[in-house]
Amino acid sequence: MKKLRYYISVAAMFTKLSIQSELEYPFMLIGHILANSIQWVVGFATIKFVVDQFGSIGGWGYESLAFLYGMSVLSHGLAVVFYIQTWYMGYDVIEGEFDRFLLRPMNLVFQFLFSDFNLIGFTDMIPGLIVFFYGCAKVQLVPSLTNILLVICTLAGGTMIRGAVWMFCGSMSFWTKSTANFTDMVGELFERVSMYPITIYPKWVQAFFTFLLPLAWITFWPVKDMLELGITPIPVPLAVVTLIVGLLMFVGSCAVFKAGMGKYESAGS
Amino acid sequence: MNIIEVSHLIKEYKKIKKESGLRGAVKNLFVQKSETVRAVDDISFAIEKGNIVGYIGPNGAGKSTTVKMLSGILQPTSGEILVNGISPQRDRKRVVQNLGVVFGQRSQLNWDLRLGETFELLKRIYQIEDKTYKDNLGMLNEIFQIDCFIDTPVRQLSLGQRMRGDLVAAMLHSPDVLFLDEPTIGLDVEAKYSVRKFIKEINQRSQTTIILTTHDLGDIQELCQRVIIINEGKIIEDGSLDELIDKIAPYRHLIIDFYQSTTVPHPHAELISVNEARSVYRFRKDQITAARLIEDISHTAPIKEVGLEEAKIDDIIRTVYQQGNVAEP
Repeated sequence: MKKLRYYISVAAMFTKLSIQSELEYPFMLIGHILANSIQWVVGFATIKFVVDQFGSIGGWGYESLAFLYGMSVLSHGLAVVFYIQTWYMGYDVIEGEFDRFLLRPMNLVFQFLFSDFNLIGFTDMIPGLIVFFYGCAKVQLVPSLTNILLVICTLAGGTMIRGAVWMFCGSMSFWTKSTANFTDMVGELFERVSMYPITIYPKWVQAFFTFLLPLAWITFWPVKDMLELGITPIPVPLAVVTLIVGLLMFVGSCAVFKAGMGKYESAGS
Repeated sequence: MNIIEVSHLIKEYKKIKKESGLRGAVKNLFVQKSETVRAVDDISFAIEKGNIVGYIGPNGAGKSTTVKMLSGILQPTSGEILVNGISPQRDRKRVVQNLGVVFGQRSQLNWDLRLGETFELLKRIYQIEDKTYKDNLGMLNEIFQIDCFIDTPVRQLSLGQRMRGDLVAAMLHSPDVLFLDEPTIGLDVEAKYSVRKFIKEINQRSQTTIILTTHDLGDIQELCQRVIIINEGKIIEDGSLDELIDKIAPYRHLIIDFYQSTTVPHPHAELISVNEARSVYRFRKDQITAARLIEDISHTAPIKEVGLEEAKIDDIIRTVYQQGNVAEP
């Protein structure tokens, strides 16, 4: 208990200092708000255009797509807030930046995850929230306690799935000793499978993203479940499955990170 | 009491040999030849509590690798390290709780924030009590006068101020052991002086054991009771600086100007040059003192002027480094 309090107090300090450092460069935040808003609004407009032309995407109407899209942008934003440091792990490995963590008497994964709390993620979440609430209104989602809990489970699970995949990719640098990693590429992949219904893809692709690389859980399955109740024989809501998948992947990614730290060789001199 | 014990420490790296050219690049994809390089090759030493030890050697000798193993950043290939009786490899958190480390080439201060903010973070991380924190900061400020820039963003500090900030950051949790890796690198005379003063005072006030790697032999001369010299991963000398000087350069030179051209030999000193009225004698410190030599000579011929030359520390260290290289086949 005392240990938990200690870690929470350090996490709070890390967060406070991260926010303070980012506020040192306010123009960067404003730039990101503009760029991200344009990016996501244009992305959504494309979907609207396609639906206007063809009526639906994979059987999903415009309203449901708005809800799905909003949910996806929100978990993307949250993942950026908590996991952006995974994008630069290659650099950290090559430059020996992990030395600092090793010199402090705290858990390494904790230090890695909490030492960088990124406000830029919130600039994704502003357009994300707009599209999300718009979608909520369109699909007439009742703000009941159950629905709120389902949304929270989906966002938490989706954020952890995204973060874990980034962390897997970033940790590869421990073995390859190279700054290059796959975090950029998976970003593209995330968009493809979390912003559109994966039912537009062949069955084997759907199976792949459901069971092998479980990205379909980030938004697709829980949202589908929320909108069309009772699509599966499982007695629990799929949002809960997303949360469980997220937690399992989180634990797995921490293990890979730890194994990678065992391979860490610091920098030249 | 030994606060640091190192026995038979070895660190090996795999170095991949790449072939050159496009053909080599394609070949490298399929066949990789690697060779094992020993950065640290079977070194052992023990350090007593409260000592300041200089750990020196040419670039690439294995100094930083050793320090990184001592502080738990790197895993040794084999061998054992105990800091305060605990292995940094087995129980990293407990060892670093009682350890301060400063890398001269890398700062632990938060670039964008006030210096004081990094201190507050460290206070939480090391769970420093309010009173201890205040006392320590007060004492460190007394030595270092950081008050005048504690509210400045770190990115605006000069290198000297930043280094002072880093040293304070490393000492806030009052560690028993302090590792300093090139703490005076790139500093001007004034900043160097104040860093040396800090190291001395910290050592005296809190009995902090300090291991110092440096290329600045002035640091060694002023601070270290003991030097360990490492070259190509092996310890080649270990002892006090005086012992080292006696061993490598036991001779001193006495220059005497007489009133007129003369040659005065002495049984315990070699007359190495006579140039009109100036004679240069070479003698061993353990055979005769300079005072005695002057006295003896002045009985024979009146002396106008005397000068005494010590072997230069730089030359001595260079000799040691070269010996190390020769020993290698």
